Amino acid sequence: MKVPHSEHLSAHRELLRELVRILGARYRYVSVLATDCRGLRYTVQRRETSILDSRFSERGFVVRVHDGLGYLEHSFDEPPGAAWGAEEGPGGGAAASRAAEALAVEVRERLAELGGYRAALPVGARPLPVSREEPLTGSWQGDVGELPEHTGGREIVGRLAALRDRAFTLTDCLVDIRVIYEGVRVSKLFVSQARELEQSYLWSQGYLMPLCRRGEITRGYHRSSSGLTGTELIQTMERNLPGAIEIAEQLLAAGKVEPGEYEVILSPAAAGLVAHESFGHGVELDMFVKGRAKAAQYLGRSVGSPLVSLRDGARSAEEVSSYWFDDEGTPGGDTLVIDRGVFRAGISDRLSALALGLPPTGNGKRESFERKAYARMTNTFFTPGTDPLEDMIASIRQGYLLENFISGMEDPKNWGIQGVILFGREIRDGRLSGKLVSPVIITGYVPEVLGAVSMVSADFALSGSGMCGKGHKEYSKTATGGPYLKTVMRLG
Amino acid sequence: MIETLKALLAGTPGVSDWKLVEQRREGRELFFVGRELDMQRARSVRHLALTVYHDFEEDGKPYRGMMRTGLPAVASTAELARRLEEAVFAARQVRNEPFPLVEPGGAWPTLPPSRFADGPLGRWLACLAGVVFDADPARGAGGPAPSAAGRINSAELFLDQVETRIVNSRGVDVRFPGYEGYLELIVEAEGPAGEVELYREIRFSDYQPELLEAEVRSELELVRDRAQAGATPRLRSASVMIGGEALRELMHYYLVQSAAESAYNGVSRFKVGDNLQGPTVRGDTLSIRGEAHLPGSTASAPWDGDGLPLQSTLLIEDGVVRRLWGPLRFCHYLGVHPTGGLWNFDVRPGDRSLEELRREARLEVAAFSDFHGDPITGDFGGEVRLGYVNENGRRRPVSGGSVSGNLKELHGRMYLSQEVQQLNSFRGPRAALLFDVAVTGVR
Repeated sequence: MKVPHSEHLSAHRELLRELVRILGARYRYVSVLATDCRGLRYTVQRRETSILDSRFSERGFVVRVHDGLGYLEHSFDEPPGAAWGAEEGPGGGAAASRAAEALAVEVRERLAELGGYRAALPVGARPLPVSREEPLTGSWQGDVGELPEHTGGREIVGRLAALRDRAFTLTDCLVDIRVIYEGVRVSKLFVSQARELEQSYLWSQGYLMPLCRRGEITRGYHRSSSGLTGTELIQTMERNLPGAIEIAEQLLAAGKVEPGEYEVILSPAAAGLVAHESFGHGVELDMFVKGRAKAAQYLGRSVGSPLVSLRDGARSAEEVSSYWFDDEGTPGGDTLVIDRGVFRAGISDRLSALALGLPPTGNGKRESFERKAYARMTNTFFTPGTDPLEDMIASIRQGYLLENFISGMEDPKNWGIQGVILFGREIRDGRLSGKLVSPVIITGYVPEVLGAVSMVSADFALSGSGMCGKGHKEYSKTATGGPYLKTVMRLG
Repeated sequence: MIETLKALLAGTPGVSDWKLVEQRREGRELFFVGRELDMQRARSVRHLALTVYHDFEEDGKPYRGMMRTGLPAVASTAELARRLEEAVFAARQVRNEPFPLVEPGGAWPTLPPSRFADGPLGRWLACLAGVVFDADPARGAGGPAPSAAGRINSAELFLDQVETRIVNSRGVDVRFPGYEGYLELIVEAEGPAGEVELYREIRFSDYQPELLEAEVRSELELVRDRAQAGATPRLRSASVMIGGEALRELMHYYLVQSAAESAYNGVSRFKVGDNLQGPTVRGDTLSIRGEAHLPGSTASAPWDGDGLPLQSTLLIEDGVVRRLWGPLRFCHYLGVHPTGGLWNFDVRPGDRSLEELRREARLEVAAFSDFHGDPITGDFGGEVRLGYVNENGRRRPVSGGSVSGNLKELHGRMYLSQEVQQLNSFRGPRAALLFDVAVTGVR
C-alpha cells in the first residue's frame, strides 16, 4: 500500500516555489524544506493506557539562504496570514503570489537581523562557498502492508492489550510490562532554485518492556522491532513476546561481570552499537571540518581487521532511516566507509561537503524543521562474513556473548568506545554456560577492537528502534546492526 | 485561538474535559567552528499540546480516557475538527481510573524575572559569545593546532524566549514567561599522546556571566588534565568519587523511587515513612527538596504542566520518604496531597569537604563519556573520560576503563561533599564518595 503524500504540503507547494523565486532575487542560494510528519505512540501497561502524539510529529518550514558571507536559516510554522481555520494553504495563482510576497518580507527581516548581529560578535564569520545543485525533480512514496489509520486505534490498543494480558500468563514474576507501538508518516517537500523533491513514507517501531521482580531483585528487559512498515509490525511483536518474557525472568538471576578484558561475541545489536559509536560518529564529516575526528588522519589506512567492512546510507538498507532525499535536498546514498579493514570514505551533510570540497553523501539530517542539519548516520552496519555462530562460541574458552544495548557515546577525537550492554551470556570452554551478567559496560580503543575482529558470522540484522543524538541533542532515527562479530573488549 | 478551539471542542461529541498547553518560542542560534562563526539561525514557532478527556463506564466501572495530541500552528478548520474527533476516539480506547483536573484559584505564584527580558535575543547572544570566547586561551591567536593550554574547538550557543500558557475546561488559565539558554562546548588540548577533547553542555535561564565564564575555564582546566592523563589502573574494587552531571544522574534513582507514578505502577514499593537507603546508614543520609524556582534553571516555573501552583516541598529527609511527589493524577490515585510535577531538585550537601573525601578516594571521576544510571534497578556505570587516581599522596589524571556498581548495595555508605554545585535544575553536592565500586582499568 502506497503511503499518501501530505495534502498540507501540496497546498503550500506553489507558495514555496514563489518564495524561492522572490528570495532568489536577493540571495545567491535559497532553499525551503517543508515537513508534515505525524505519528501516534500507543502504550499499554498493567494499569495504564496512553495514546500520545509521536515526538517525531512536526509541521513547519525552514528557509536557508547564502547572503554573500555565509549561510543563514529561519525556521517557522506560521506563515503570515495563515492560522487556524484558514483554508488548507494558499493554493496557487494570485493568492499564492500574495502569500509568498508577505512571507518573503518576514523572512528577509529575520535574516537581515541575523546578519546585522555579526558585527557585534567577538569572532568573525567563516566564509563558505555558495552551494551548487544539479537540477532534480521528482516524487517518492514508500510502500507498507497496512497504514495505522486503516487498522484503527481500537484494534491497535486491543492487540497491544492482548499482548500484555498474555505476558502475565507466561510468568508469575512480572510486575508490569510496557507494550508500545508507534507509527510515523513522514512527508517532506524540498524546493530550491534547482530542485523540487517530494517524499512520503512510514516507519514503525515496537517495544516489549517487561519488568520482573523476585524478592528484592527487580530487572527490566526490552525487545524492540522496527522497519519501514505499518501495523503489520505488531505481528513481529506477538512472535517476540515469549522470548522477551523468558529473558526478563532469566535476568533476575544475572550476576556481575568480573572487570577485565575478555574475548567477546557481539550480537548484531551490540555490533550495531559498536559500528555506530566507534566509527559512525567518527566519520561524520562535520567532525572533520571542526578537527574533531581522528579518522581524518586515517583515510586510505588500515583501521581494523581485513574481516571488517562497514556501510552507511539511506539506500544501504531498508530500515527507519531509509529515504529518497535528505533534509538538504541531496539524494540518499550508500557509502562504503570501511572496506576490508581500510577506511575509505566519510558521510556528509551539504555544508561539510562544501567545506571539504567533496560531493555530499545524502546524510544531512535535522531533528525537525526547527533544527539545524548536521552530518548524521542513517543505516549503519558491519557487513556479514562466513563464520557459523556455533564455531565462534566454540572458539572461546572464557568470554561473553553480548546481547542488546542500552546506550553508547561517541568519542570521535580519541576513538574510545563506550557502551552499556543490557546483558552478556557467559561462554565457558566453548559453550554457553547458561549464566547471565547484567548490565555490562564495554570500553575499548577503536583500532584495537576492530583490529581484534577474528570471526564474522553470516547472520545479519538491523534495528532502528533507538534514537541517535549529536552529542546530547539533535535526536533522529537511525538503524544499526550487522552480523555476530568476535573480538576482544574490556568489560566492567 | 483559544476561542476557536473552545468552539470546536464544544461541537465535538464525547469531550468531557480538555487541557491546552501553548508555548510560543522565539529563538536565535549561533554555531562556531574554532574562533569563527559558521552559521546563524532564527526560530519562531508555536507548540500546542491538547489533551482531551473522555469519561465513560464499562461493566459498571467508571473510566477517564485521555489522549494528548499536538495541534499544528496552521491547519484548516476541517483538519482540526478531524483531529479532535480522532482524539476523542483514541480517548475512548483508554481505560484509566478517573481523576480530576486542576481547578482554578489558590496561589498565584510569581518568579523573579530573567535579565534576558531586558533587550533583544541577538544582543544577549553576542554578550554570551563574548563571555565564552574571552575565557578561551587561544583568543587572538587563531592558530591551527591546540596547545597545551587548551582552547575552544567549537561551540553552539542558543537563546530562546518562551511564553507558556496553560488553559483547561475547568477555568484554569495561567501564563508565564521564561528563557532557555544553551551552550554546547567542545574544548581540546595537546598532550604527550596527541590531542584530546572534552564535551560539555550547559543550560541556563538568566544572564550570569561569572558562572558561565567559570564553567568554561573549568572545562579548559579539565581538558588540559585529560591531555596529560595516563591509563586508568585496574583497581577492581575501590573507593570512588563521582561528581558533576553523573551525580545528578545518580540522584535520579531516589526521585523515581519516591514518585507517585512509580508507586502507582508498582515500579517502586516505597511508601511515606520508608527509608530509601535501608536500615543501616554509615555515611550521609539523603535529604531532597523539590523546588519551583532555582536561580538560573530553565525548569523553574510557577505552575506545573497541569496548571497546579508549585512550591518548595521536602520530599526525602534523612533518607526517609516524606512525600510521594508528582502531578495531580497520580497523587489522586494514591490519595496523597499533590505536589505537582516538580522539575527542580535540591539535594542537601554533606559535612565533609572535597579535600577530605579525596583523602579516602582511590579514584575520582571528573567526567564520564556517558554515565548510565538505572532509576529502577539502581545499576550505574560509565567509561572514565577523565579521572584522578590518588596514589601515595599524589593525585594524577587518568582516562579509559570504566566504573560500575549498584546504588542499592552501596548507598548505605555514601558521603556527600559540603561544596555545592548547580547544574541547571539540580542543586546539590559537587561529589559523592562510594566504596567497593567495580573499576575496570586499562593497565
